[in-house]
Amino acid sequence: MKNKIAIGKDKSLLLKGGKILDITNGKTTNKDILIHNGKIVKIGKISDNNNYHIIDCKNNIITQSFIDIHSHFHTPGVGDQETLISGSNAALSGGYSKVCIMPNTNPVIDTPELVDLIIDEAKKLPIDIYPIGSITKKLEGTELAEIGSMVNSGAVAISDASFPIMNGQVMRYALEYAKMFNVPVINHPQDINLVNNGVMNECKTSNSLGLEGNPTISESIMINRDLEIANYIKGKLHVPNITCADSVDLIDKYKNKNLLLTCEVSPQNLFFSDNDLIDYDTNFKISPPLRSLNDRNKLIKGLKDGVIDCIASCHYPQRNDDKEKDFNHSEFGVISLETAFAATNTILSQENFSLKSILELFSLNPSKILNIALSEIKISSNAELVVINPNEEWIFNKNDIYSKSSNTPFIKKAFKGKVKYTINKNILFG
Amino acid sequence: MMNKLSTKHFIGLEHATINDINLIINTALTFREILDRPIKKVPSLKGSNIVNLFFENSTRTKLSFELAEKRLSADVLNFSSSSSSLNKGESLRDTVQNIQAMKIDCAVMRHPVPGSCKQLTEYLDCPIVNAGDGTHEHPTQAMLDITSIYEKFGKIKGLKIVIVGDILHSRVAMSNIFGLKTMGAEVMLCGPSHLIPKYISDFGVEISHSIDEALEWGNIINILRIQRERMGIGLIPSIREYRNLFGVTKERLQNLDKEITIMHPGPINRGVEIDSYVADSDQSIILNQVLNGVAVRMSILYLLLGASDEK
Repeated sequence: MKNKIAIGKDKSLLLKGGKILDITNGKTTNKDILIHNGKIVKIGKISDNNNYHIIDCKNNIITQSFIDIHSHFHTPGVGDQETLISGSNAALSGGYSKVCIMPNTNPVIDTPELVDLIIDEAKKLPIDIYPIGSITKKLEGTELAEIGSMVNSGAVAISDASFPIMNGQVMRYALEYAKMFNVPVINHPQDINLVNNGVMNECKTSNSLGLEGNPTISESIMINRDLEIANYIKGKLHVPNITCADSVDLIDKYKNKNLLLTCEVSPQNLFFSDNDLIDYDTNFKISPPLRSLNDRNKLIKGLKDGVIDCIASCHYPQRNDDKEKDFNHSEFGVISLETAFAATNTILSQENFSLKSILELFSLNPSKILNIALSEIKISSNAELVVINPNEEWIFNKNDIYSKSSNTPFIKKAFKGKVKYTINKNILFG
Repeated sequence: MMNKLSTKHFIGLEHATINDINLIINTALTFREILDRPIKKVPSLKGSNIVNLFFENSTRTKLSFELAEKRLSADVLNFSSSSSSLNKGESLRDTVQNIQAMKIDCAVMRHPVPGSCKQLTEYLDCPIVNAGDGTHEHPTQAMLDITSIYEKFGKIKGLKIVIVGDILHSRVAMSNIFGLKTMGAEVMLCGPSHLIPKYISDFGVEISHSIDEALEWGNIINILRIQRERMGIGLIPSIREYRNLFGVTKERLQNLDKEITIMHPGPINRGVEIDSYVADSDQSIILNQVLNGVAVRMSILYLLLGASDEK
């Protein structure tokens, strides 16, 4: 288990012997970093001192900590799936210091008061929370929520989370209205009618398992509609959690039209495929679903070609009893903050991605998509850093879970690349 | 000679071996003889407790299992749950925890959700028999179909079997495809194109949308029941249209210049997917299927519970 240590005012934190990679300019240097009171105070060759809490960073990379633009903390809510505190620990363990949380909460984040409440609560946390407001009131897909006021209060985007906006006219209004506040609209890319109660990808495996199939067209048709609307009114669109080859092609086509268009992929969809469902393990039940190996390979190519902008965890905690139901009745979703970097690095390093290009998917690109500031690694900057061993091979197990829930398909999976420490708000987690 | 199945449970035919399928057929045909005797009971499973867990309505399969269990002298418990508690998504584990405490030796389960029998194997230590799990498999039905074919033809290999109807929603079709293909038969699926799964040809089956072509092709036709509830959601425009396009009618049978064996897993919709003339004709083995159903279920239960490794 990792520990959370608050560095006192009389102490400084010394990151010694690591290689610094500043993702904002791509420069690497072999220097030590001294942090005091949450700020970088010295960079260079720094000698030990009794007042220093020293971290040996030999063979490790020091870079900006990660930004997740798609997590579900179910807060406000009952609190038995996740809390802001447990979610923060899960984030820190995975190298994240900034997390955007989805509004499918109870009550729904559809007013500025709720955005204020979350931002206020989050001040006490070791990470920074960025709320995403809902597009429509109560996520009902009909009436626009108070988008302008929510953005003024600090909402960084709008989304109806796992509820797709099925009415094209509502989507048009949302994209047009949100333009005034310069926030992207994030719409779950699923046509509910074409999903047709599907619980996994429609494929040979869904036939042999007897499970209702969710066809790739449920996603590509919804994305195509949203792209057409966004193109028509020149709106700002972010497509979350794409899973199939057709989506990559569509987005590629519209990116060439100079749209304000970005998209993300989850580590789950890079690491697994629909073949992994053969044992009816509900920890592989996610929405949109795991697709074919061909789709997975196309997603990796989409990342390489720059069509896909970033990795988003799509962290979705669920209670054990909600996952232990039969396959049709069990809930969708997996926890992912703890495993996102390791899982992605494992796959992409095999595909000859450079470490820098992988790290950009976790910090630089998400910061651009949602306009979240990313500090340079320089004197007087806030120390928001992560220490990574990109080559460490390890096995993920239950002890590595910090979320309040444990619905993950990654138990006993072998990873390459490990987050050793995350530093934020003068807290050292590792 | 081995006289036990190679698996602890009987969940499906997708991964069943030729040896296991042959063993079930041969044991079933032995039990068939017993069913023809004046006293139709054997003591093979005396002292064993078998629970029938039915989470979905069933008359025929449930009766057939119960009879098979009683013919083997097992003690039988019946558990039926209304579909309403399932609709609330009650966890399967919660439901079976009570049953586990009763120290049963075998559980037979019918459940509306695919994979639930596989899931049950994680919660119960005893052998599990799948009596139909959603649209996944109904392996005892397929075994009684295969046994009935074997009884009539003395072989399975090389035969051509047509399955006609709503394949998309049929567990019977999937189990038949797996079992028949393993045994070396050829299978053709016939039905409305939107009720045949998109990826089904990956399983090595022929596909036709013409019942006349299918009748011409096959030695045997297994006619699935058209579920009337499918019509309510507009998947089948009308009974009239279905019968015109896919019904095995008297005329179609009479116009055929060969004999084709008629099968149906029941219950029959006379005048819809099958005409009375066809169901009652000499070419029909529908009632043999019912009798073989008891024998096959005796065979499977015996091979899971009663048979020893010794000769």
